[in-house]
Amino acid sequence: MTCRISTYMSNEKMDLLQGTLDLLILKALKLGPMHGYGISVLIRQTSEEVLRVDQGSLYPALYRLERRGWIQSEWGVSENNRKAKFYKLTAAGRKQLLEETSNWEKLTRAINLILRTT
Amino acid sequence: MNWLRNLRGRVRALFRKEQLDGEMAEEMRSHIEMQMQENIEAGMEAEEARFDALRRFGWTESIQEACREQRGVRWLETLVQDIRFGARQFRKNPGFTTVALLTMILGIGVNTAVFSLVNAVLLRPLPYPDSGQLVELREVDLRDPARPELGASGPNFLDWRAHSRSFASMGLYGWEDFWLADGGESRQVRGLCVTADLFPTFGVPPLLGRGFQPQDERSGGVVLLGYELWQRFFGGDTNIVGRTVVLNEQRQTVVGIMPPSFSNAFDYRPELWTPLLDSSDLMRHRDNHLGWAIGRLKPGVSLRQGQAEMDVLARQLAAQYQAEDQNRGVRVTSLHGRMTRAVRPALLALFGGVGLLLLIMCANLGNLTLARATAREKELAIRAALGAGRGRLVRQLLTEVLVLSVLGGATGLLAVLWSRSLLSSWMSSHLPPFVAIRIDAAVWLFALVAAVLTGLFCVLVPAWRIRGADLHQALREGSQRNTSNRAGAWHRSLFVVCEIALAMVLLIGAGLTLRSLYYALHTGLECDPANLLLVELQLPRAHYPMGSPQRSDFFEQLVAGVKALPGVQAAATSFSKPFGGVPQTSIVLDGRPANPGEPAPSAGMNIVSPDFFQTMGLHLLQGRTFTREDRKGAPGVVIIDQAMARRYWPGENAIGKAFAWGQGSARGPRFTVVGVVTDLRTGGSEGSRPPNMYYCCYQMPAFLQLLVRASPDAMRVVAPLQSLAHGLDKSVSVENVQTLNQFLNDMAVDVRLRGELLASFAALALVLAGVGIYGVVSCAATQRTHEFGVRMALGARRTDLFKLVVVWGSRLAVIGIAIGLALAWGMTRLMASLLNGVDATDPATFAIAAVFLFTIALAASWLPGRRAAQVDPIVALRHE
Repeated sequence: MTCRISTYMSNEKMDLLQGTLDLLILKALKLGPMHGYGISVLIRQTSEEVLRVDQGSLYPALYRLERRGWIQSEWGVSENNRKAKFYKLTAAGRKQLLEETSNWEKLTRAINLILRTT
Repeated sequence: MNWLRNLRGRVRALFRKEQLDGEMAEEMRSHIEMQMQENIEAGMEAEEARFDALRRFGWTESIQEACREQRGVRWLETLVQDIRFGARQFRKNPGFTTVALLTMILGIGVNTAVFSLVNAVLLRPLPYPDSGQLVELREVDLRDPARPELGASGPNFLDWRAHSRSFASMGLYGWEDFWLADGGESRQVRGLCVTADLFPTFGVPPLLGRGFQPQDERSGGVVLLGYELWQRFFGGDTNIVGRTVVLNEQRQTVVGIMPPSFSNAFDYRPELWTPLLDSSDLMRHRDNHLGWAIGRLKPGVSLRQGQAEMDVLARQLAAQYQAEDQNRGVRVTSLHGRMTRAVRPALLALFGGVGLLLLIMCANLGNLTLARATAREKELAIRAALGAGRGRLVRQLLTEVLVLSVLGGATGLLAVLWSRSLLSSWMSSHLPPFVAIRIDAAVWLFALVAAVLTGLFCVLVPAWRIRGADLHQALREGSQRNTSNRAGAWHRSLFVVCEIALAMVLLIGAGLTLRSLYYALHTGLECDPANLLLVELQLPRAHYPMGSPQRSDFFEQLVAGVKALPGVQAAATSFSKPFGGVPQTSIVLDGRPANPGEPAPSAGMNIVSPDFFQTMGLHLLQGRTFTREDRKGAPGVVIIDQAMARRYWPGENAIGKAFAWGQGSARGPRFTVVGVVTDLRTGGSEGSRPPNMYYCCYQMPAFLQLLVRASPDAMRVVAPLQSLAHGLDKSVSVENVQTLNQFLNDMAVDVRLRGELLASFAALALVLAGVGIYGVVSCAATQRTHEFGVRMALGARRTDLFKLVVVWGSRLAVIGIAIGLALAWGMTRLMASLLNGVDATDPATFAIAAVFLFTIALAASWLPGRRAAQVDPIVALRHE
């Protein structure tokens, strides 16, 4: 499963490492329960418009994370009084987020090291 | 708990698909609306905002599809979809479906049935605790290991038991016939004399009462009854333990009852057991090998270790007791192997036969599937154009066929379940007594695996073709003339060649078995075997001991009386039944010392009255027959048959030659050949006939059988014969009266069953091969209709076209037959032990089978050939 996230600068789609989108979603949900639209907006805004999540990746990812038991969903009412499905982190999801965050940091540090030395 | 929620999620996904889909659509709609709202807030027009939101979201359908994949039940949904589609296809093609399903049911059903036999006999352990450790110990002649093994003698057994360390226990038994009398009734029963440790060795305790104890071997006077005898003779009386019964005119106490089916552990079911007395012949004489030893290896000790230890022991015994034990070894065989040895080759031959049949059926089905896949190429191409992957298409084909094969397998299994009792009763007389046919997990598994493998095999070639073929080509071109179709014809020819080759092997196997059946049923006798009566007489042993003058007198008086009965042409006495496995006796020829490395000469022995040869319709070719002068004390005489003369005195006059019974340095009585008679059997090659020798009953008084030749109906003599016998002595019973014809049929019942089964498999194989050839040739002929039109337009005659098609069909047949002959050449050797009177590579059988199969193939391509010849050239040219 590759995740498609567009970057703003080149406006060309690029494939991110597997699991990156999962990490972004889990991180977004750490702030509190959120619906799919909210998550995509949040990722776009906090990345200063660099990362745009493709809906074709977002929703399958949400369903996958739910099936793994990292997030839970329930129907609620949005800020605009609209019916929407809200996702929130489970205890397992929190653990997973910690793990993936530390993995990500290890990876970026390694890549940075390589970029700096060569 | 994770997996539980996971499972719950998947189940929900499967059964509440509609609801989940609805929720998903709702969620995405709300997402789009929120985007729209934001767009409006950013200042867009409503319509523009909506369009932008939709555009940003992407193709909803495909996103939803991707989300559904995440539910983890996608493959199951596809499967259900494929099965539904397959079922629809089958409904549209009832012909294909019926043929395929019937083939599957038949193929898998027959295979499962035979496998259930193989499983019950060869795979399941014996019904005793830890039965893998049970072995039989026999003495063998080390100079001639091929000779039938002996039993075990009592003193040798005692030495084995005392000195071996590999065995937890060991028991010995010997056969004995008893007269059982109780309250005025009496009957003859078959029993065993056993050492006290035999039952513990089997690990089977008595049902009631106690087993034997070591002191019983000294004192005797006790008996254990078999369950069946207890039920039938004593009405299942539970107070029987402790009562006395009369056995061989001696009072014995019943100490227990053995459980039902325990008697199945022995070849002929014994009805009662008595202790094997220390004072018995068997236990006292080291050269009496009429005992049978059973041992239980200690846990963890292998058969090979047990054998190695017994080898050492046997060498020590041979050194210690040179007279009796020289050249004697001990053979340790697993009890299971020993009890199933007789049926193993027959079962494996049957299993091989049905296996071949299944392969032929697979080839036929593969052919059908291939034809259908070719016909469906357009449909498949359209599917591929609409985005179905190759893998997906193959999966669909596979699912369709698997549905058929699993359905067929299940029905086949049901048929076996349903006919199980029939199968048991039909086969039970041919199987070892311990066998109970059960449909257990192994049989289920076999049916399932056979079904799935059959399905996979059938779809193999079509699937491979789909992967490789350019499906778009199929869309563009007409359905008749494209390259993949020509390749399809090639694959189908391959199937047919395989089919013919396999059918050839089956046909030859069946032919050889039928030849042995013919050999078993047909004698070289001039008289009609239906007119020859074999009568077994039971004389009370106490009054007529073997070899006593009373016994001789009784038989002579009886024969004289029988000869006077109306319709009787001849009557004689004999020791064993002719054709019925006469005892083989080793001999030492005068002037020809035995070579140590060579098997000792031997021949079948019978003891007969002078009229025997006339009664049997054997001709005296040379010398004389027996006379009254050949009595006890006179020089030993023997009459031999041609087979024996040919084998031991080839090119010489056998009359006057002499030999002695015995082997090596041991010599028994000496005999001179006084006559040569014709062979009993004349089937098979001259060299393969078993040698026979006949001794005179005046010289060696041993009477058991009466032979009577009578016409027109031999059975009509039975009643007067009975009253004659009873007139001489009331206590004599006439038992087991059969014509030679019935006897031969009984003897051949195994061969007959095998022959009938293999012949029916071969017949089925022939039909299948015929259908296969017909299908391929007619399909190819149809495809070439256009070409035929061109040929005719260019001046070809109708007979040329006919020849073209038939020659093409016969070419397939010839290739298949050639491969089949080569295969059979290698494979029939495996069934050599089942054949009598015919070689495993008998050229005549091979040739007849080949001609037969070729004729079938010719007939199968005849029809398509005629159709091709009758084609109208104008129609053919337009044919697309």
